[in-house]
Amino acid sequence: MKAAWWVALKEIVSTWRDRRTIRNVLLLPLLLMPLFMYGPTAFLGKMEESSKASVQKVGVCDLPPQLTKLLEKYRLEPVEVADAPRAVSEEQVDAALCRQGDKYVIYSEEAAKPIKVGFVVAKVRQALDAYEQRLVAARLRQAGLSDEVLHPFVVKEEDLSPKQAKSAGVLGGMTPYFLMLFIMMGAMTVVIDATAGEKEKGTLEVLLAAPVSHLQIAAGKLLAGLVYAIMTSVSGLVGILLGAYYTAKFTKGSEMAQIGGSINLGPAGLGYLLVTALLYAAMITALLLAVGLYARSYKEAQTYISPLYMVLILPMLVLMFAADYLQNALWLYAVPVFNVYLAIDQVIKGQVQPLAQLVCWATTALAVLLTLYWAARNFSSESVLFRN
Amino acid sequence: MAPPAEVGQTLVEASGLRKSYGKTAALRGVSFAVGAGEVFGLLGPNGAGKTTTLRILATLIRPDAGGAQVAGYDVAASPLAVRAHLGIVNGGMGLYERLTGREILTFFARFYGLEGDELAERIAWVDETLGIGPALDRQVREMSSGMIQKVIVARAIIHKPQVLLLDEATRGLDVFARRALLDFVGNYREQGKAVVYSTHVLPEAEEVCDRVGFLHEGRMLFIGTIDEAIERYDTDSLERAFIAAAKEVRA
Repeated sequence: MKAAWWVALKEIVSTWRDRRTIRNVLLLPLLLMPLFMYGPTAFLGKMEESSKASVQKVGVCDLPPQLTKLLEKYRLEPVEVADAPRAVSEEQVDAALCRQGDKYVIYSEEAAKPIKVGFVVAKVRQALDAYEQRLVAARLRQAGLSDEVLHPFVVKEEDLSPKQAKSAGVLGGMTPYFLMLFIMMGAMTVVIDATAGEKEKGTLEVLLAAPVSHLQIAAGKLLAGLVYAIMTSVSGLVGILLGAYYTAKFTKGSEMAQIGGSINLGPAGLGYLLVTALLYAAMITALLLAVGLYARSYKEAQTYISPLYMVLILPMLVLMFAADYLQNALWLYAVPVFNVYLAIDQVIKGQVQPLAQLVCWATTALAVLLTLYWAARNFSSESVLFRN
Repeated sequence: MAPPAEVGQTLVEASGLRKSYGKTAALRGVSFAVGAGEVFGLLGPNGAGKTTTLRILATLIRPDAGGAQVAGYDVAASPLAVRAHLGIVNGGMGLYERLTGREILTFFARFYGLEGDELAERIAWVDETLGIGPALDRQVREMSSGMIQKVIVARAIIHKPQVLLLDEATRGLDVFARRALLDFVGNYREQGKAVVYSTHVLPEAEEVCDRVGFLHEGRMLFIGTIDEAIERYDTDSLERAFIAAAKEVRA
């Protein structure tokens, strides 16, 4: 298999010298992932803090004085308005609260400005809740009853999930998706150039006329794709972890800091993750090799691979929301792509089921062999190589 | 590397090659032989079947019928042995843009078992033979077209193949690079190698080929020396002889 190694080395060096590839595949995930994942969270956190601290104008009409005072307590400035809907639509106030008989109506344009107005509406609701509680307490006292009438028992929730699952948060939920996405991105970088790119430049014919088996050529290109798939995913994951670290540091103590979460894999978890990621990277690279060879140019390869990209992303998107329900369906660990997502999800949440992991590895390994065989066949297929 | 072939020994033999792409027949029973120390011109217009013939010899495609041998090895039964004994250059061929000339030569040479001192000596030999010079340590994207062509030829002969297949090899070359290539083909013949020189530029073939084959619409119309072709079709040039042969078949 020496020849396969030489082919891999050629692809690795050639790709490494393409500065655009290195920038797009290795540096951008590292720099952008923290911004994409935690930028909005940190921004929202800051907005919430500033909204809590500052005073916003709220239109009021026919409110009891006690409620008006409560609004002030929640850092709102009540402004008497005659026409509340108009005052809101003309932006004289951020929201308005009016009493209509025994009904209180909150006017706002929350759907149009969900964040800015949303915070104000939340304050108005808090003030209303507090006012309601005061009224109820007063009426209970008048009737000679205690507060306990309304609260006959206490509810306490205890989450028995493993510590890892509890701490994973958003980070844990997104990691399988991004890991699989980065693997695909890294493999694509090498594979399109190594198949359709070589065809377009007229170098593939010479390579195939060298005394090397086409299986070795396919294996070499697969190895190179694998190297970049792993490098890209490591770069992306480091970006995510860096983002998580700095967001936690800068938003320490706030609710937002807990949303990000953290991942703590032991040596065994890391081992499970590595095997699964490597097998998935090999499968994706071989699949892209087989498909990329059909294209006659770099551009044509992109048109073939884009739909494939969508097909591969779909299960990931479904599982992002449905993994909880499907985690115990053993048969799903035999379905390529689905199985990898679920297997990684298990590891991140510290809920590894060895049998499920084994089924995932066995079926993915089988898929690697089949796709590699398909790719090697395409390297020998004149109808694929010399398609006009 | 195989021992040098004796002059006249057959190194390429194609017999009754047939090949179709769907309903289009590219080759309709093509036969010819090329001996050691000979440049054989495979002549014909675009679409005559020249590239298909060379691809069969290079084991890149399989014939529907007929067979071929290169350096004594059957293209269907021993493709790896065939590939080990031939070099290939075609006009549309490129190189790996981000590798240097030396890296490209090393990459291909290793497939032929060349490593260490032997590899260094061989690179020095192609440098001396073709005058590659600074292109050896320059990435392809920084080379001129003439330099690129030299590296392409160097890559094809780094293992000193017994058979060299040239397919429209002068396409797109400037006058200096073209001259250098034609001179090289003449020299390579002197080393006892067989060269199959495929082109549609007949004056070029007149200059460099010992024998020629007229390939037209997948059929071999004539095989012989240039003088024999001119005499056979009673003309004053190879080009006119080819046109006469094509008209004869149509008639």
